[in-house]
Order: sequence, then structure tokens, then C-alpha cells
Amino acid sequence: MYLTPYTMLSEETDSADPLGFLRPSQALVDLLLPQFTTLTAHPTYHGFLCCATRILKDRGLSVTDRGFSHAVRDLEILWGMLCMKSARTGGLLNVTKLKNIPLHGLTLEKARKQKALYLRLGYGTLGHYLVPSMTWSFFDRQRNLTPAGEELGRAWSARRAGSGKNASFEALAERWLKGEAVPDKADEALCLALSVEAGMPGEEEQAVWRRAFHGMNERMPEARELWTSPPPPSPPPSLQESYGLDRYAFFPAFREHHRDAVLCRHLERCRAFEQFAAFVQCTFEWEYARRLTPGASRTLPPHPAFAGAFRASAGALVPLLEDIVEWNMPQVLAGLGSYKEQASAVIRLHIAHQKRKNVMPFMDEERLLLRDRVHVENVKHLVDTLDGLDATSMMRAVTNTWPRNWFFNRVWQWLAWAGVPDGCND
Amino acid sequence: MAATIEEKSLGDLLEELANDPDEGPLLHVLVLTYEFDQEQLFNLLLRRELPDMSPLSRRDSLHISRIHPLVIYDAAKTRDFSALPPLLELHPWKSRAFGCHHSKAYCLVTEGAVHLFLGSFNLTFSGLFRNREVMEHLCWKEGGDRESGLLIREWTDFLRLYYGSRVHASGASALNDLLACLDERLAGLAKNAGAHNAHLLFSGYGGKNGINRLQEIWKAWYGDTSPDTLYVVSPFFDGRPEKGCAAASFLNVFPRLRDLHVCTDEGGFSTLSRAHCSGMKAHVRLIEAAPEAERAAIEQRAEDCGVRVPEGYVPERRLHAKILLLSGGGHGLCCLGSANFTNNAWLGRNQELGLVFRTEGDAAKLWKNITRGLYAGSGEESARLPDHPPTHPAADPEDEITKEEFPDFVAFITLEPRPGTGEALFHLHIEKKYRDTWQELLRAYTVRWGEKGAVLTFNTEGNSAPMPEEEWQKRLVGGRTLEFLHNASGQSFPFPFLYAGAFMEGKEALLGISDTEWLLLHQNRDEEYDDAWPGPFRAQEKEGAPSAPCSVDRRENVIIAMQNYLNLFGGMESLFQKRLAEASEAGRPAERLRAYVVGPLREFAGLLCREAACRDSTSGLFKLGELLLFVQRLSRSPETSRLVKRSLQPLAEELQQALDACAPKSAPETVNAYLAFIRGTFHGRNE
Repeated sequence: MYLTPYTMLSEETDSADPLGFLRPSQALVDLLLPQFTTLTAHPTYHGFLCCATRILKDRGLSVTDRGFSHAVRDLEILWGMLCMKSARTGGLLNVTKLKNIPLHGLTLEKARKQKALYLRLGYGTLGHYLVPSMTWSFFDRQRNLTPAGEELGRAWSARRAGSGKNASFEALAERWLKGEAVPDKADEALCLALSVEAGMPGEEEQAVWRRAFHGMNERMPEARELWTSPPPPSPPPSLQESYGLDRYAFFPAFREHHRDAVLCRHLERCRAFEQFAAFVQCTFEWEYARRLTPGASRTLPPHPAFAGAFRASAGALVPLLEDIVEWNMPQVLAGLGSYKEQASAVIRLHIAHQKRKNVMPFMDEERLLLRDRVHVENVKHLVDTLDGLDATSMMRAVTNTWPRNWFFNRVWQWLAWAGVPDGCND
Repeated sequence: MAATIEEKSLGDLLEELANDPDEGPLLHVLVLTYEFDQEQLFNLLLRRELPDMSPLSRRDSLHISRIHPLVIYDAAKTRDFSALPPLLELHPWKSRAFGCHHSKAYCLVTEGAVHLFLGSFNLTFSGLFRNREVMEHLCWKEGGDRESGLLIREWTDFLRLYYGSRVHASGASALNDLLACLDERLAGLAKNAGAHNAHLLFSGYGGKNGINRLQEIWKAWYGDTSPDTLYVVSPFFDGRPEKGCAAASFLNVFPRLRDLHVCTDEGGFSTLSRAHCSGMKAHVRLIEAAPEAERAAIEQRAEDCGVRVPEGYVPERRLHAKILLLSGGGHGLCCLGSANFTNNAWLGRNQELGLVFRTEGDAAKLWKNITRGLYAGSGEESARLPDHPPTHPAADPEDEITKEEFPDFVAFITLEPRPGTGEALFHLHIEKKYRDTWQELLRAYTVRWGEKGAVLTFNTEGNSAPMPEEEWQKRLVGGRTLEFLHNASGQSFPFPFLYAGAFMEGKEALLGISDTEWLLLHQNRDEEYDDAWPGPFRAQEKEGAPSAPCSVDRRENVIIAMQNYLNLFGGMESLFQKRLAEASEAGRPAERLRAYVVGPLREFAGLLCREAACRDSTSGLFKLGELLLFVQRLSRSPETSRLVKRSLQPLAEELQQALDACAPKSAPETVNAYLAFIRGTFHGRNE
């Protein structure tokens, strides 16, 4: 007899973009930081991908060949097993599948029989990092390794901490691909060095990244200041901290910190989008929460000033998105004065968006259609706290409840990785 | 059947199946449910991870069509299933008034085994990822556990008896294929043997109810010993116990019952009262919505999947599991499945399905393990029970009653081709009792194909106007239902349709793919969906495998198109020769030949016939001829076994007939010469 567990899903799966924010927000991200996605969590993966591509290139396999993704998975499994040996599996993709595989005596032939390891070849380093690696110019448009990619792969593989035949990832990979088992006594220091949590890379790898930053800045000068003048991480409360803790305060201060007019205009777009999206999300989740209780209260806004602030945020966003992305939602909402109209419009737009994707809407004007698609605790808690707040505090609370992902923190993380946390200057 | 309790989801079990190299590809799927989410249904069929939200590719649609799954669900839960591809059969089950199709069962037949998952969960997001559900997994393979085999046989008989007469047209075809496969798989089991320690338990089918069946089973196992204790896990209870409740019904049948143990959550508890206990001594344990003791387990599981639990996130779980135990005189039995502790469930108003098995000794120990597994608090809550339930108790959302405006006069709808043309029309099949009044009733509705489709009108025979091929082919994608808009109330009722007539023989016509696309789909390996083509369906690895453009340009030069086609066709020949050899050497060769060689070739032949007949092209005739020659070569080779010859000969004959039928009356001389050559080869006159 089985009693079923609670399964947490990734945020992306849980929400599945029911309001159609992905396209316009991606358009804004691409103006500044196209090399980052929600799936690019750590720079070491770029290193692995370049290294794996080098190894497979030597064996006559290129990225565009049939079987390449399968072969990358072969190497990903080796890498994963080495990380498991180091007992440092934090941040490792597909770690749960690897944990079910016995490590002792594992060969590639045995690994290939584990079908689960080869499910969803697109969900792994290749799927998540190839296109961002191309944006970084580690791969060209034909998906061949560039000289920078070769350098990165070589530098990543050179994280050797010992000597002998197991001294590098490439050496281990060579033996793995020939059918030998993962050695029980694989150099522990090497395994640690290869793990995602390894800490700082070597100087050679850092230098490759610094050159990559320069290259990116030449191609995207409007984002240069993000890389050359990051806000200092201390003293607290720092701007870097407020990105995570108080998004409402972050953007005005972040704009103040930067001088470039083009960059500042982009930042204003991001701020305005985030605020508008938060009002939309709040309305959507509040309406969803209301429908959980049949016969619940008539349509009431979460706060007396909500409708006015919502409308104003829509109106502010419309001109900022002209020539950037076509998206009718701000325009529709900029013309609506009452919360009831706004709620109705948000639901209609949600239904139209879901139908375009050929999936079910979560709710309609009257009732819930799909349960458990929204975590209503957030909005319930928020609405409780809005009671008695002034309009500005209300806007702060709403915005901070639904911050968007702009990847500024990734800039700071990548700069630190490359050994230049105070900025990468020409 | 051991009563051990493990914490696992359907997704976990499916992943284990995927890990087992002996399982092989999925061949048949049948789902019984109250309702389902499209996304989870796709993932089940494509063996993707259940949370996957990727859209369907053409290859996925082809794969699904080959499985030809059948989903039977409650008619009240028909939604706009726009994304469902053709050949995924839907049967909305119309229950009696105040009842519903509540049964939940998932039957998956792979090459290696038959799997049956029975339990309390619908194929929905909540059912798979959030609720507290209960489930049992039965697996039968050759040489496997005999008891499981006997239970699968009970399942087969149940399906045949209670669903065989209800499904129609292409839905019936899907069910019959599954039943034929199950019969073959069970052929090795002794004919008259019955299961000893477990049975399928159903209610609401053929006038039978669950309580009476339970009584029969108890008596068969334990003779005159009577149960004195009833244990129940249920999220819902009877709304008006004073008018009758499950406890009273059980007392009727088992009059020595004294104690009633209930485990439920806050939602269930708010509707419970002493009146629900019908005089039995009540013992109540509560499951909190978010027990702290469970949080660590949730976080560990999330970490294993690489998912971060946000700070402050409170995972709330609703109880949806339904378990019932009877205990007395040192004996016990346990039922799990779809039945809540209500009269609707146990007296046969709903359709319910579950499993009942003997416990080891009395059921008290099992009850202890169950309540621990559900994180029930240790405190006794019965003192808090009111004498009567609230005036307006929260209803079971699965007791949703079909609305009055539902077009009940429609039994089912088929899409049928008009012979000799490329056209198709819809045919309304009317419920018997409405034979004289349906046209009047239909006037209350505006019927469209899909939300924005043109309005359909029906003649006195129930036929819509014929639609040209371009129109219905286009609408099939994203158009699985007809919409019945009730004009007066504005309510809309989607109604899925089935396929009939020549579509039943030529299902490939519904897929909207060309012959070249079919060859490409078989031979190009899409890396994203590598796992959708395990085993013999994998494209060849050997060097020199033909390459072909990955897109099809129908307007390209005819000579180039034919060259591309022949290139691909050559690859297909190698692929099928390899499949033939593998299938012949494997276990159950007849089934494998059908699934991997004859079935796909017949499917391909159907596509070629359409091209030859409808597009009036000599290239279509040529392609048919080449396919016939290939099939003949396969069947006439000296190495070919008698089984293979027997399997391929009917296909060869069908192809020859199709070729004759498609040949134009006045064809050019070259075409006639070619056809004569083909006939000569067929009849063995050519070398």
C-alpha cells in the first residue's frame, strides 16, 4: 500500500506562466543580460560544457551530430558520480537520479542501462547552458567551440589536485568512455575541486571569464556599467542585499548608483514592469484565493488605494515598452478605474493566454477550474498585512511580494567567481 | 498481499518502471478517473516526468496514436480538451442522477508486464503532487506473482462486463485491443482459479453495491465470525446522516459492529457528527493540514529533486485517501480505492472501484501504521463531535451533479468519413429515450466544432453537413470536442467525439502527417524526446544511415522529392528488417510483430493509400507498389518463419487490393506496365 508524498515542483512548473509575463520580461532581460536565464545557476557548468565538448570533439563528435546530447549525458554522469564521491552534491543537476545509482563498480555500460538517467536529455548542462554559452561566445553560431571556449574547457579540466592516471577530469573521462569503472579511489581532492560547490576556480579559469566579460561589454555597451561598477556588497544594508530583501527600494537606489543614461532607462523599464506585474499577480492570486471558498465575498480590492495604484503602474509602463515588446496587457489595464474591472480583465487575459497555449485556465469569472495551481498563502498573508497601511507602504508590500528575476545578482556572482567582485574594468 | 505501507507517488513508481530494462515500451493505456488534467495525461502517455509542461510535438502525437489510449471519466467534468490529439479516446461516463463515475484506475501495459494502479487519486495536479492519497500497484508478467495475475484477470473481466457495452466506435476499438492483449498475457494462468487473499471491489456497476460485496467476501474468508470494529479514512461523509449514512448501512450488514474509528482532516471533521456514527462508539483522529513532523520529509524530497522550498512556504495537504478496515475475531480486511465513507459510494449510486485484501490478524496494527503514515495526531477528538452536522456542510467536489442544461439526449458523437471523397461529417448518436424528441431538444443549443468554429446543423438522421478534407484536417488539431452552447442560459458544454467508419481502419488519416513525415518521424531521432522511442523504435545507429531533410517542403521539385522519399524508404526497409529479426526472436513474437512491424506498416500503407486515392498521383501508386514489394520480400525470404509469413500475408493482400483500387482507369502505359509488374511479383510470376 502506498501513501503519497507531497511533491514540491520548481517554481516554473508550478506557475507555468499563467499570465504571460515570460515573453515581455525576457525581452527586458535580453536588453541587458541575455547570457543569463532562470536555469543558469553557476558558471562552473559552462566550464564543464566546454570541457565535455573538447573531449567529444577529439572523438569525432560535434554539437550538431546526432548522439551528441547522449554523449554529453555520458560525461555528465561521470562528473555527477565524482561529485557524489566528494559528498558535495549541492547545486548538481539531476542529483536525485544519480543518488539512486550504486557508485561502486559503475561503468558506462551499466549507467546506460539506467533509463532514468537518459530521460529528458534537454534537462541538464547541455540544455540549460548551450545557448547561454553561445551568448558568452564560448560557442559560435554553428555551435562550434571558439578559442575562448577551448580555453575555458582546458582551464576547467585543469583543476587537478594530484598526479597519476586519475589526475584530471579528461583522464578520467578517457577511461570512462573506454568502459572502465569509476575508480573507487578517485582522487578526493580532484573530486572536491570538480564539484559545483568547489569554491573559487584557478587563475587560468578566472582569466578566461574576465576576457569573456570584456567581450560581452564590447557587444553590449549599454550593460557595461553593470560589470564595471557593481554596488559594493557591504556595509549592510547594501544595495546587493536590498535586491533580495526590498525590491521597492532597490531600483531607485540602483539607478542612482549608475550614471549611464541608457542603462538607467533600461532599469526604469525593469522597475515599472516589476511593479505592474506585481499588481497583476496580486489581483490574480487574490481572485484565485476568493474562489477557493464557494459563495465567498463579493469582489473587494486588497486595499482601498489598490485600484488607483494599479492603474497608475499600468499607465507608467505603456510608453516604456513601446518599441521594446508588443504586449497589450498594460494598455488594457491602464484604461480601467475600478478593482472589479481590473480583476475581470486580468482573468480574461489569463483565459486568453492559456487558450493560446492550449492549456486549461486556472479559473474563470465565476469559479476555480484547476485546484492547487496557486500558492494562496502568499496573497492571503499580504492582504492581512495591508490593513491600515498608507498607499506607499501598500505599493512596497505588493512589489516586494512578487519580485522578478533580473539576474543582477548573477552579475555579482560571476564577478566574484572571476576574482573581480569590485568590477571588471578595461 | 502484504499490508506494508510505503511513501511513494505514481511518478516514483513510473520512474522505477522506466529504469527497468525489461519493461520495454508502453503499448496500451486505460484510465478510469473522475476528472483529469491534460498535461498529466500527456506525461503519463509519453513517459515524461509527471510535472512536465512541454507542448506536444508531432512525434508525440504519433506515439500517442500508436498506444491509442482510452480515458473514461465523469461526463460532468468534460472540459475544453483542445490540446488533446486525435486517437486519444475520451469517453464521458454519464451516471444516474446524483451519482458520478468516481472510479480511479490506471492500467498500463508495457512490452514486459501489465501494471494496474488502483487508488484514490484522479489524474490531476492535486491528485499527483499535493493531496494525501492511497494507492496500490498490481503487476503481472510471465512467471510473476500468481495472486497479482488473478487480480488482473478480475480486472479484465470487470472491464469487459461493465465497460465493454458502454464504449463505442473508436473507443470500443481501443478497449477491445487492450482486452485482447490482456487475454493473451493471462493465457498462462489456470482458467478456473480465483484469487484467495484479495479481490477487486466495485460498487455501482450492474446493480451491485460495495457493502453487499464486502459482506460476501468477509463471509467467504472468515465464515460466521463477525466484525466488531470499523476503521475509516475518509475526507467526506454523508451530508444528511439523519436520512441515512454509511455507518448505518454497514451496521445493517454487519450488526455486531461496536466501534467506529475515523481518521480525517479538519475539512472532513467540520462535517462530521455523532449522527454519522449511528450509535457506534466513536474514536476520531485528526490530520493537521501542515504537520511539522512532515516538513522535514517534504524538504528532503524537494532537495533530492533539486527544488528549493521557499522560506515561509507552508505545504498544505488535503486528505483525499479513502481506506476502510473491518476487524473482528482476530480477522480483518482492508479496502482502499475511490469510495468515501458515504452511502453514495457504498450503496451503488456512484461508480466506485478499489481493492480489498486480507490483513494479517486483526486490522488494529495496520490501522496504527496507516494513521502514522498520514501524520494523524495522537489525540482523541471524538469529544468535540457535535450531535449533528452543520446545516450546510462542505460538499465533496467530486459529487458535482451534472447540470440540467447538459445535452443529455446525446449518447455519443462520431466523426465519419464519406466514402469515395475526402469529406467527413459528424453524426449524433441519440439516447434511446430521446429518439422522438431530440430534434426539438437540440434547438435549445448552438453547436460548434471548437469555441470559434462554424455553427453545425444536423439533419433528421443526426448528420452534420459534410466538411471538405482541408477543413476537418485543420480543425482536428486543437479541436477534440463539439461545443453545445445552451442558448437560454449561456452555459457551454464541451462534448468529445469518437471516430467511426473508415477512420477506424485508417486511423493514420487523422494524424495529418504525410508519408514522408511518417518516415522522418520514424528515422530522425529528436534528442529532446529520445526516451519516447525506446527499444525497437530507436532509429538506427549504424554508419551510412540515410539522412534526410528535417522539414518537408511539399512544393519542392517532384524528382528531388521522390529521391528524398526513396532515400528515406531505404532506411525504413533496413529498420523494419531489423525489427522483424528482433521481434521474431523475442518472447511473445506474435504480439511484437503486430506492435512493431505489421501495425506500423499498415499505418504507413494507410497514408500511402490516401495519397494515391485522394491526390490522384502516380507517385502515390509507385510508393504503394514499393511498399508491397518490400512486404513481399520480407514474407518470402527463406529465413522468414511461418509466423512471420502468416502475419505479413494479410497485409500484402490488403496492399495489392489497395493498389488495384487506386489505379486510375486510364493510366499511362508506363503506369500500367508497372502495375502489371507488381501484380506479377505478387502472384510469383516474376523472378
